[in-house]
Amino acid sequence: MRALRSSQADFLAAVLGRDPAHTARWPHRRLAVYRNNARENFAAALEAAFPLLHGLMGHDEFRAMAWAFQKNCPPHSGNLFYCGAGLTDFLFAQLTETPDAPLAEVSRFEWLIQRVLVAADEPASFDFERLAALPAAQHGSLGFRFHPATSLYRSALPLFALWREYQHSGTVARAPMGIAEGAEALLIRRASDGVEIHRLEIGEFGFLDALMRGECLDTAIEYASAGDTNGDPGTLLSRWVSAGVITGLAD
Amino acid sequence: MTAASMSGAVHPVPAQAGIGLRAPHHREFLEQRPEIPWVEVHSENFFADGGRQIEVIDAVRCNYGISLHGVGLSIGSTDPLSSLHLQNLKRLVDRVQPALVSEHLSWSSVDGVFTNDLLPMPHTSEALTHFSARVSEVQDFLQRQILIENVSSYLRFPEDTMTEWQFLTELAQHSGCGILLDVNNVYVSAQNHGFDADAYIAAIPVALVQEIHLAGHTVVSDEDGELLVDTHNAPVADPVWDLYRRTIARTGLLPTLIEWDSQLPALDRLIAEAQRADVIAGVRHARVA
Repeated sequence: MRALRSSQADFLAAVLGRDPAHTARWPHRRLAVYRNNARENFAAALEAAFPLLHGLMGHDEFRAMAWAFQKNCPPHSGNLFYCGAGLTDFLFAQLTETPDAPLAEVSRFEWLIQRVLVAADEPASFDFERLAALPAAQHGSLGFRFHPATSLYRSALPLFALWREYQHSGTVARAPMGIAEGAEALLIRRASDGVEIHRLEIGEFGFLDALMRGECLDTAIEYASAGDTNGDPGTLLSRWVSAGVITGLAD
Repeated sequence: MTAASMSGAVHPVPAQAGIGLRAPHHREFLEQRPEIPWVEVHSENFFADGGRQIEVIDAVRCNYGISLHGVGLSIGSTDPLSSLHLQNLKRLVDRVQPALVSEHLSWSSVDGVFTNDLLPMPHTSEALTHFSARVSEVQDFLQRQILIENVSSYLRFPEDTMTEWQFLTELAQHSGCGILLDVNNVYVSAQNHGFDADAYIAAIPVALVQEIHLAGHTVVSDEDGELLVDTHNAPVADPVWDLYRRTIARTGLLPTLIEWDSQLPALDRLIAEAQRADVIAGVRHARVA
């Protein structure tokens, strides 16, 4: 298998343009077909996963970024879904301290959406009888289970408005992104054909975030109290149980 | 939910034309339920743990025969097969219970780095032994036969000691896999390398071929002459239809897929292309205006 491995390593080096000596062994135009396929397949997969980032950057800049990302962080899976997994880290490293730094945050937001889209299904099965059977004194120590296709997201950037604009119009204007008035706290959940994004008050976000991290109800209530939430814990719990976001009591 | 717990019989993939079902057509396809007996999907697009893609494949399998066609397993690589990829494929196969499962006569990775393209195998005894063992590994894992598809190629390795059709035939005979004969790929490679496409078709034992692919390609011309590129972005070219006629005259009727992956046409147009294959095969009469 040594010769085969050597042939494949040399060929891949030529396709990826890593070594001029390898590249020179092959007819340029024919080798370019493989190189173009590799670049276009990768860029198209990224574009599908990061449509808002693509809209903000514009097609040409997005393609150039995709190819730079591919060259610096080549994919380690044959499943194109995973090609976007490292994009946020790449963009943070490339763009920190530049005017385009918010684009890294956009990629983090969109990758979270991608993860929600493919997360496991779980039927609504909240065991109200089990809850009712517990003494009230034990309620504060309860933990809760969340639907796998749910994520919480917090950012200083106004991404919710951008995302909504893109959903409605299919385009988005690139403009300097400033810090939102207060942090933006969002809940992302899978819907029948895409995702729903809910804007949360900071207290509600803290409450849900604590529960999602495995904290007990008493601790989550402390986070809710520290924020600006208007809802009492019982109302918050009821809202997200009804919505199928909280699916059960933690074991 | 496992396949065993799902309702609905498993539909066969008959010796008629089907279409490659892609995401932009999912909604319309499920709403219209067009009269086409089977579809092929890219396996990796349904590796999700849950969500819309899983709902789609569950709904499609209730009314259509399904062929799963993988593009990312990189069977011919000398890297170990990805256990995660294999597990995802097995989970999907168990869920969908497809009539056909296929992969490519290609590789995509070295030392864990992937190109996300279907790169050509050297046609050597060593490569044949390796590929055959890998196909056996996949078939053992999936507990079923798979088909291997010939890919379009633009370069050949100087160390080649056999033709692609010899390689593919021996592979099927050694590993027990079937052959997915992509007639467009045969034509494209024949034009690019200067061999006789009919000789390729004639050399493949009929009994090994279980499915045919048809697709569009692009002709690139410059001062170095013509180069055909397998782009899947256009109707099937006339010379490929002609080769298809000669192929099925030899093989008899087989499940035949129209692959169209980029610059997707309207669903009706795609289905019309499949119906043209059925007319050529004689399983459907042409409509007279």
